[in-house]
Amino acid sequence: MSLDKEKIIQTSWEMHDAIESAYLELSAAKGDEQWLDKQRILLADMAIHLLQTALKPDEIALDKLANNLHAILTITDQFLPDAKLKEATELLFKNS
Amino acid sequence: MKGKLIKLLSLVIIIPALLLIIALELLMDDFCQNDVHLEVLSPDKGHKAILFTRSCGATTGYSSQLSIIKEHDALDNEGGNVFVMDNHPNVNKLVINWLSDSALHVLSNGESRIYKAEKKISGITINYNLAKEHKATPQQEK
Repeated sequence: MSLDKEKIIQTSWEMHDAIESAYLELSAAKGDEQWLDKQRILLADMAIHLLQTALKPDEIALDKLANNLHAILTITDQFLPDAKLKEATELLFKNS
Repeated sequence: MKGKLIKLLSLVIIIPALLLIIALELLMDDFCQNDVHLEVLSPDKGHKAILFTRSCGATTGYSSQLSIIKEHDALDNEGGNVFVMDNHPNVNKLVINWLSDSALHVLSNGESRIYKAEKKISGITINYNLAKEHKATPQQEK
């Protein structure tokens, strides 16, 4: 099975733009009713960056991967506060 | 005799030279101007991320700069304390988002040269997604 990585990455930027616009439209501040909705959109945004890092041709860029995971874990920490994700984020950059 | 000569040289050359360097530094700061492009408060409103352009005269062009400062502090007439990149933020397609109270995400699809990309400042982690890699070359804060 051949995977057209470039095409998927190109499509992902279109998705990213739509998600970014939706994020910017929401003016919710922390504590507001829509705050977690806004964070979910941001999570989707960061997930797209992870997809781009994973599918980028050539060797995987580990620094980018660490950055992507840091962003995802940081946002997810609000949804899963008992999963100790914040501690995991600190370990991500331990050797960099 | 030799000692006196060194002292005299110090007075006549080194001290004026140092004063001249200090004066030039101050003068350069006056020539430079920051214009705020975007200001984003952290979710807890404790800090603000300020994306601004810095220009130091007609011959130097624009640069995109990012600083993180406390919410009540004003932006000094200095380069960004977090991120510095050639060209205007619109050219660099710079987007900044707070991921949490202590993490900021910086996205750029620009290909301009990056001079500075700090990973942590004042307890805040800066998370980058850059098209152009930041090479650890000697920093040149514009």
